[in-house]
Amino acid sequence: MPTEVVARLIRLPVVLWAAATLTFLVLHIIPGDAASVIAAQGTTPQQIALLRHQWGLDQPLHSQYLQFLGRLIHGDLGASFASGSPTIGLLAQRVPATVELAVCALIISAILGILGGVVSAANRGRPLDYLSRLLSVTAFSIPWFWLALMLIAIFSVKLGWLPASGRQDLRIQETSVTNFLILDSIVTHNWPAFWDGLRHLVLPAAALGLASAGFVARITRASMLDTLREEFIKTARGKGLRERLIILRHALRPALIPVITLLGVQFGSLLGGAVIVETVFSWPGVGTLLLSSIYQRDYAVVQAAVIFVAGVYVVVNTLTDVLYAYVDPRLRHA
Amino acid sequence: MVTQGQILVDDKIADVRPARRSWRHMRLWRYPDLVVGGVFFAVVVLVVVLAPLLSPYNPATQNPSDQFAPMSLQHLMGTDDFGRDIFSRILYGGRPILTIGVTSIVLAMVVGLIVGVLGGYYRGWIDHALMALMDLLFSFPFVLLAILVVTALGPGLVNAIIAISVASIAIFARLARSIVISLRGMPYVEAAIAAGMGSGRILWRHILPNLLGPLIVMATANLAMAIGYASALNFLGLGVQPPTPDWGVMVSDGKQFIYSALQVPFFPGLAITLTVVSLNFLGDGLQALLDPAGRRGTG
Repeated sequence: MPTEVVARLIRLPVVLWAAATLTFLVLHIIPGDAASVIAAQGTTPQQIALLRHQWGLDQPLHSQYLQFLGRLIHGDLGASFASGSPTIGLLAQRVPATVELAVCALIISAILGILGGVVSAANRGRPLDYLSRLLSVTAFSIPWFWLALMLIAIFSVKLGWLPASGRQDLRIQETSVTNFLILDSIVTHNWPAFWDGLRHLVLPAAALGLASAGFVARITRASMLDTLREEFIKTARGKGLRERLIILRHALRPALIPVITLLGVQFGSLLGGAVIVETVFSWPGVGTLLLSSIYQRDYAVVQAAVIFVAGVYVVVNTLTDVLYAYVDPRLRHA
Repeated sequence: MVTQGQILVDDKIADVRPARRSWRHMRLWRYPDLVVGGVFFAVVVLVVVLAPLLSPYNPATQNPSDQFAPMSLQHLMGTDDFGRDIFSRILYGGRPILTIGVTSIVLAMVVGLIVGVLGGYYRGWIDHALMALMDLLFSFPFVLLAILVVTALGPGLVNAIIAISVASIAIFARLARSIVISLRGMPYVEAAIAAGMGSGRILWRHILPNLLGPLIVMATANLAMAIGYASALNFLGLGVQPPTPDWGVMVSDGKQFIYSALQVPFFPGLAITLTVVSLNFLGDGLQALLDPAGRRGTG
């Protein structure tokens, strides 16, 4: 394995630790006390002090931090202030929903983006190129939340084709195996549930994916144009091959290499975008968990959710870099 | 007599400085992206700044009897659930977002520039320490970092500025650093060092002018992003609060009315989109003009 890759993998736990520490520090500089903020009206100072003691907030910062680290190593991200249940459990419930959404959005953005980029590059300078570029810039300029609302307005309100919120119709029976509803429904051959899940997934995934598609299209176009300038393409043309064959069979594969890494990075930023889109669709994922715990001042859950998402982001980015090192033969022996 | 900043070349005294680009021969019409985007964005800024003069109504004036009025000559974009004129609120609504966007990018650029130049020029442990810090910032998705900061500091305009600023620093720092490192290896810089030119002067005369182009391009692209994320923070209720007229807040307030009065969330979102699109075109045009080598990376 190239040393660069090994170095990245060794650094991974360090980066994860640093991200968790930063999150802890940021959330603990909050002036005022989580206990007195959360405590309902009419609680006595003694009860507030009890809460504070229960959550370990009356201890000095460094010992709170050490306890935090100790729990983190054992995979414990603390317990919710509001309900007392372990945050890991709350996250585990919500993660499949967000992952389903993000993966779907990534697929949409990959298909549309690569298609758009290739069409653009193949028709460089012609009207189709300009149109495609206009569309892709517009796509990643639209605010996610507004796109989500407008999609609901068109496909749910006006046309009535697709549902406006939630993951599935309450009337559909579904035995949840993994909470990945689409997979579950395939595994249990529950076809009504499958189609229902898909119908609910389309709009949120489109809202997330379209914006990302614009970005992917841009990079694909640039990468294709770079590849088309290479010597081996000149050779192919010199051989008299048809242009379409050249583009699809010879240029596309090397051109896709940077796009693959981009998709890996995009998955991470889709996680961030999911936070916003999930609220609009009342999608029961990590995003809505994060936001509702912010509104409720449940900082324990906020901390857990942020650390979790940041952790996934770091891991995905590292894996993408490793993948890139393997996919691009030029880097393999770096 | 050779003074500081000059060297001896074939018995002639020469100034050690790179050729300066002439700004007069830029042929702006060759860059349609730049012109269209620039003009459009300038119009947006102008309209928002001149809102008090252009606005037909006070954006805060409520008129409960005139709820959800359709678009007409009196109310160009109709009225909202409180009977407030939407068009006036759109005019004023750009101010918080533009303020947050511009301020946070300027802050991020200044801090990022300092960090990147220090690390890239002096290298060594300073570089390692600063880059480790930047990598730490990079380990969070932008939205998440901004949300984290705003959660800690509380909602509001200033805190939104801080949040977006913090999340953007690393991008500028990385760009500045990579340019400084490549410039530092250039022969004319090494010549200047050999001639005894002080670090400060080298930075000022040789390094900084070459940073300007890519930084402006990056700033424009990131301004587009910052405005987008500022509107998202405001939409989520983590930035500017109602009843302040703000495009993000207006979309959030209006989202319950997509069934009954679509104009309420539609227009503010459209305003955000058009602003960001024009900035992105402006950024593309600026890149073609100032930084064709594409050193700003994939953004």
